Amino acid sequence: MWNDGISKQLDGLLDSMGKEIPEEYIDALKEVIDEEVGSYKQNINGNVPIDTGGLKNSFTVEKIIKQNYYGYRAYFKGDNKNGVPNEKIANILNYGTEKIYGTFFIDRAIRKLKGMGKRIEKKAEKNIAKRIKELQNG
Amino acid sequence: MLYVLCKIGAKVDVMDYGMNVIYDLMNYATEAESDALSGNKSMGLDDMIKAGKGGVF
Repeated sequence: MWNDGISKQLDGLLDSMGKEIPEEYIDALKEVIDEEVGSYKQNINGNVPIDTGGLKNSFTVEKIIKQNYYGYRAYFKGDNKNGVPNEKIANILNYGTEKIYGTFFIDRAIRKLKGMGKRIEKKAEKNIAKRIKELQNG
Repeated sequence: MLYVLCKIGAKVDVMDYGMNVIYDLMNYATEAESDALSGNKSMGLDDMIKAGKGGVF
């Protein structure tokens, strides 16, 4: 049987889960987003069509600083030497045009993110179970 | 441009798109999807990916 202290802590945790997002969930959200954006970055870097290397070098992943939000922006920064935006070049290589086939390197990388919501849920469940165990063990 | 952006609030399913990604996606989004992308309603990550749209969250 739990002592009063642990019961109260557990009650507090379970209570907070019913009213607001528990810390364990937010941690899971951040961990999964970090991991998957890292994989996305590797995927793009490994598959971006290379001519001069300029497009690959322009690929940028930035953390978004916004209150109550967590995430990243991934894009091809700047222009090439002829003044064409790298983002536009990447889109053309991805989707193709009437004259060239698309490589779909961006679409393929994005497709791998499918199910991220479920992976966040799973990670959160693990974090919460771990926290409950910690509280039970004192 | 891909945004992986999650709102932390009452719910963790609100996805947000920047203007650039809206512009890029408008070219091949259906009307309903464009509405979602332009912020007329929220769309979950998996729904967005299922719809084949480039962004996440």
